[in-house]
Amino acid sequence: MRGERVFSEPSSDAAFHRRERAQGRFRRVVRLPGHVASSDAKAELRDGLLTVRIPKAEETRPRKIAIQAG
Amino acid sequence: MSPNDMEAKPKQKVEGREESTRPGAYFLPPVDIFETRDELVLLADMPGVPPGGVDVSLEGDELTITGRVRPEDYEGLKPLHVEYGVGGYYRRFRLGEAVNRDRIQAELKNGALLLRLPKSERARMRRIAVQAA
Repeated sequence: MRGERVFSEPSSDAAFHRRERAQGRFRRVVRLPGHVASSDAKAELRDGLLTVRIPKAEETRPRKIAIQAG
Repeated sequence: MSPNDMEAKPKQKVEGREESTRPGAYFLPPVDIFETRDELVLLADMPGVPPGGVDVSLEGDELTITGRVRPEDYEGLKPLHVEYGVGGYYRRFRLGEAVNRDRIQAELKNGALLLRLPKSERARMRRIAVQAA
């Protein structure tokens, strides 16, 4: 994921008391455990919070195997 | 890293906040505060706080900001890796300038709070007097 945040600067006569918020570009790479169905991934940006939902791949989900009577 | 890149800063937990009836962690929101001739402007990053989830109060010269997230969004999730930390926001300031409390404006957009605190008539008068001297 990557993004950029740019602020509009306040007027030049403004004096800063505190300046803690970051701006600029960001990029983050996360290695995922196990197999995922990346084509079904969904991302949502709400209230400044990014949520990415990636379903597990079908073959890694737990499965019940019926035992046939011999 | 190029000069335009943002540095990831760990969130700072609020310690020693008075007892609350609401459970959960609270973090210090990073803020920008600047002052123009007529007003103080405060911007605070509070990602995850929905519109209506912010309280701003001014008692005397003490300004308090509280932001609440929706903990129900995270219920039932099993954490594999926790770095972000889910929680609300809380921060207190003592204002150096007298503020016209009836004209304070607060707006929350995309998790960023914009607070405009117009200086009181008296504070502006005082400033003009100093400049004239």
